[in-house]
Amino acid sequence: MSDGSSNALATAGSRLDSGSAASVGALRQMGQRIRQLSESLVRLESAARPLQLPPLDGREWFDLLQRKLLPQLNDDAYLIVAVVGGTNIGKSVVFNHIAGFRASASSPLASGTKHPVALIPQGFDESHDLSAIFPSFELRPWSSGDEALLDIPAHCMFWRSHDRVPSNLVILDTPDVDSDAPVNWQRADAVRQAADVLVAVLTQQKYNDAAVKQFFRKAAMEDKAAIIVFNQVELPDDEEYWPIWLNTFCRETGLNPEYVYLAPNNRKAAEAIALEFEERIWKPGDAPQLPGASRPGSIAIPNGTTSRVSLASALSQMHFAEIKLRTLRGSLQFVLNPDTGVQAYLNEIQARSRQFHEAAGVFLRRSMVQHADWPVPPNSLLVNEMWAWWSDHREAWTAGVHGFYSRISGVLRNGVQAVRIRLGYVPADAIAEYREREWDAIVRVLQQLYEQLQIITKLNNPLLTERLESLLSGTTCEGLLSRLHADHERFDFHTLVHELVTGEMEWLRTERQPLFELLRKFDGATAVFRPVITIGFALGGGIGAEHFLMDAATQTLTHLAVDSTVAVATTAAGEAAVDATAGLMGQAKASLLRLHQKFKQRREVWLLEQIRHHFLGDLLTDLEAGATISRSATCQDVTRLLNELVNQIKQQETP
Amino acid sequence: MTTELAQLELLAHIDDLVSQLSAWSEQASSWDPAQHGKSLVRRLLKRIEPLRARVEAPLVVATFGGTGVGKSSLVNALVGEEISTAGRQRPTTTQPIVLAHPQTDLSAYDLPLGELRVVTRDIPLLRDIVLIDCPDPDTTEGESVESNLARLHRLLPFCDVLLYVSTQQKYRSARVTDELLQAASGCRLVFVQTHADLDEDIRDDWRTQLSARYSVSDLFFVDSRRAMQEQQSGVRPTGEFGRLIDLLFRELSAAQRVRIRRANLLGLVHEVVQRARDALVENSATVEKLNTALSEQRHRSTERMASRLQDELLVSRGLWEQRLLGQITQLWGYSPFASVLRLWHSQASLLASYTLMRAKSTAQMALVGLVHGSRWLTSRSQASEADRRLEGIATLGLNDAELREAQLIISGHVHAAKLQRPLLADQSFDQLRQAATTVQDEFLTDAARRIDDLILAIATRHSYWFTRFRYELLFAILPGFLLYRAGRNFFYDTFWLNKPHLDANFYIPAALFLVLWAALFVMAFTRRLRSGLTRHIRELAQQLAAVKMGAGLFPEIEHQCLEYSQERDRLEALLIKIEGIRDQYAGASELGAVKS
Repeated sequence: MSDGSSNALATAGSRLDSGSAASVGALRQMGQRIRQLSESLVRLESAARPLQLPPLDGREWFDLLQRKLLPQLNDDAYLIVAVVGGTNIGKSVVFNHIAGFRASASSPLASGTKHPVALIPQGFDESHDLSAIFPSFELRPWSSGDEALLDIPAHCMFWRSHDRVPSNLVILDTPDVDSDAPVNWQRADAVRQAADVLVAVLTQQKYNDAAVKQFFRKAAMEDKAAIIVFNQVELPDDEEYWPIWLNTFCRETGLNPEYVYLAPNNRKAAEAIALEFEERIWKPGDAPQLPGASRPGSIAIPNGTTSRVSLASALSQMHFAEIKLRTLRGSLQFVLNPDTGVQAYLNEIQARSRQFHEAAGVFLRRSMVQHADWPVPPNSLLVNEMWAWWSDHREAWTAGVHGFYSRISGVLRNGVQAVRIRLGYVPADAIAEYREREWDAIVRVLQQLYEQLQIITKLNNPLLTERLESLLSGTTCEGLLSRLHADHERFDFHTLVHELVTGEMEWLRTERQPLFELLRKFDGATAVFRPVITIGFALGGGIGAEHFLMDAATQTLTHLAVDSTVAVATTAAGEAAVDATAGLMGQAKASLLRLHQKFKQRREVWLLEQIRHHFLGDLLTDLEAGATISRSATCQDVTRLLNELVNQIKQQETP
Repeated sequence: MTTELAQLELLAHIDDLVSQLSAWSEQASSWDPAQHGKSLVRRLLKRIEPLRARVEAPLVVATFGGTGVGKSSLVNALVGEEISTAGRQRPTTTQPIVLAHPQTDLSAYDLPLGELRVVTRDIPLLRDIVLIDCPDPDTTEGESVESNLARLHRLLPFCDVLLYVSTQQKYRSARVTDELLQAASGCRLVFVQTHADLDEDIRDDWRTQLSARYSVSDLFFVDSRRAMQEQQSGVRPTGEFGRLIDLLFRELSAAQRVRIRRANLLGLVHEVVQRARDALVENSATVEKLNTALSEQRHRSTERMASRLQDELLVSRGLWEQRLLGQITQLWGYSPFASVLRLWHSQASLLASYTLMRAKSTAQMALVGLVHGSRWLTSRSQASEADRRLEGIATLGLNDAELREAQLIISGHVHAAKLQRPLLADQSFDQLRQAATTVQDEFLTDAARRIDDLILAIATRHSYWFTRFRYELLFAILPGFLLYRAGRNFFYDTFWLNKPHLDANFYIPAALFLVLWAALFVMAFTRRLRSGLTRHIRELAQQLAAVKMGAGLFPEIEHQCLEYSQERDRLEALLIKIEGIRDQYAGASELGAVKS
């Protein structure tokens, strides 16, 4: 990419020579949009936190946005010149030569410079907010050259103004890019991003080092202007080698230097800030020549000994507006590049969001619970409840009759029960039994859930896996089971049954009115005949058995009880009722089935809520939030701004 | 002779060590960290095999350092001839050069000779060593087969000594220092700063940087250019370069070969074993958690079974009475009251056998007795196998939901502890049920034995002569009186006084009263037996809950946990042994090495 774009921009640059001022104006117009883009990106990042993507800070394009575009788009044309390179190759020496005095301490030991040092023109700090230009650094006024060697964790930048600095240059000495102190690389990166011109200090030992090449490759992608200084050159022996070095370096990095200088290996002169830089002329694409062979292609013309002012004066002679425009555009290109910039981040969000969506789907599927064979609620419980409701809704006189008999049989039954318990009989508790069976089903559901989670753990992205791992751990599982069990033990089935049965009965009363009326008539008939039945049983010697019969009838709705009452009721209600009675059993069954279904549904919902509450908790919320991020307004905002910027750039380039 | 013996002894030690290591690494383990360590050790063994084979061959000395630091110049200056091209463009050396004496058999080293340039020279220095000029590690971005870094990596395993060459510019280059850390294990090191003619002496700072990870005895600051000139003019190099050559002759001589190779080998083995051990130690916490979870699980199931047993035992009072009466009649023999008790017991036994037919609880079975009970249990477990889905049978404790809960919790811990998954997957739910049956079986057998003991103890307490005497005597009053009446009537009244025989009017009420009398005594006695029973049962349940079961629900996982700590201990022991050998044979050396 670097080659193509740098070429394109080089031609753009030459074209801009004439109309650069106009183009700078055009770029300025983008300032507002870029600021909006930056703001909505920050919003998007905080909204996308559940996705756990790497932060925006530290992404090359975002750093460029923050450190280059935002501070410099709306500012006057000044150039930031940074001296960069590997450790212990004389960056500070070159810097001091540009400054003309010992502004930054040089040390024979490697990794010496820890913090950047900035030289600014007189009065620059009054007209500019330095901390806005270098937002990643803590700015401190310079007091001595040794400050840059301080080994402190804060990212400092020491600055001083000096009358020898041209009015529109900010000159920086930077830490190294390749030592065993990675914090130095970070600081160098931050300076590079902000810079317009890089003074690349190279040596024959380091020009092909991987770390150095990587640093300058980024600079080339951002279209920085470059001045290459080969330091510690053995002249005249190295005269035949430097084009080879330079070719290799430029081929590997894609950098295209404005100027090339050679600095001789002379420690004393370096210390005395009296090195003599020799300018060389070099064109990109010069074929590398083997040492010793004739060099027809090389245009390395010794320029004689140029004075040490040349480096600084070369800087001041640069086409400021052009370079500024070029680096701003380079950075903007980088930010807008679909492979490296905002679009890549948006794609990342999309992809991650899709993953979250898929994962959320697994959790939200209700079939998860329905797979388990959920137990059927105890019929006796339902029927008792129905019976209780019926009793509450009887007409006054039937209620009296039935109530009277219920009380009698209640007393009888309690007596019998007491005796039976005395004899060692343990009464069955329908609810306890159901609770136990339901718990069994719940555990099976959990087991299924765990199996599914384990499958997701194996398939999905590492960050989800990490969260799931903690969910799947034995300790979490134990806690979940105990909390769930406690909640399950506490659950009041009576209330639920009561609520469901009331609903069902009310529904029957309004929706199935004829049937309901029929039932009421049956009930009335049984009330009439009840004394007769009781007397009959009493004569047969079975006092109390009558109740058991009624009990059995209500509990199981057996044909026996219903048939006997139906026979009576039909005579009372007439022929019309016969058809309805035929469907009575069916209705009862349907009613029970409906109740079963509703009951099961309610319990499943309960379980899902419990699982959400006790177990998946934040994860599920995060998953849902993450799944919708890519469709959110903030995300669309960013996309819109991005498209507008891309179109604006296109429009500017077409005429 | 003694040194030779010591040498042999050392070799024997190393052989022993290697065989132990290979035995350990061949043994399969179900733990991921252990398995990882084992494959690491297997790789190590493969690597040190040639090292052991060529223990007597000349040492392989290789240059190591960033591009442009003067590796080739150093090699050239050492042999006094322009052999390796020392260039100004980077990187210069791409094809590594091997410098050896004509008499050195290079094939013994197994070097990748295809990609090397071999140069033989008959000079004194090469008599003792093979010199390799290696490519640099720092120009490569993204290691491909043809890259310098890859070439270097292929050569490093053959090197015994590294000449770590650096300059003022490069001594803190992150790439080179990172690579050195990888390369230096299993090697001795010599540190050389070059470009003495151009650069400043940074050896003090360099030493400080190096000391964190390496033991550094000496650093050299050489001028290869001058040394070369001296060599070519036939002068032995002087100054720092001379010192370097002296060191090479002195420390890398034939006499030192075995010592250096052994130190390298032990260093390498130590590092690998330590890494394997560390991996196991790092994972120990989760394994310990798994272990705790397992024992908690075991404890919980025992407790649950004990509490349910207690509930059921408390309900089954009738059976207790039966067992106690049976025991007591056995102890008392055939005295009158004992006979009455026996009579009562035998009729009650009929009822009991009836109860047995309908018995619903295993606790009742335990109470019925060991022999009957276990027979019944066996038949029952067979039945449950036939009907697996049958749920809610009142077994002693572990129903399906509880088993599933246990499985969930343990599987979570197993996952965290990095125990290989198949092991748990293999243990299907049916197997878990089977294990639960075994656990219950064991528990019940134990419980039945304790109940037997308890019954015998209670029975014995109620069989002291005083109690027996009291009951027998008091009981005998009515039968005695009746016997006396009947006897007097028969022998005295009818014979001497001619009174009529006692008729049914006497015998029927007498029999009736006798039955009532006996019933009264039996009731009193059984009441006595029952007193304190609840307390006994509670105590029994407490004892049972505290019992440590022989096996839990997850015997295989428990076994694996044990194995894990054994693996760790074994590595720990090996490590101590390696350190012992290393220290025992460690001699003073001027060569540097990785700190351990």
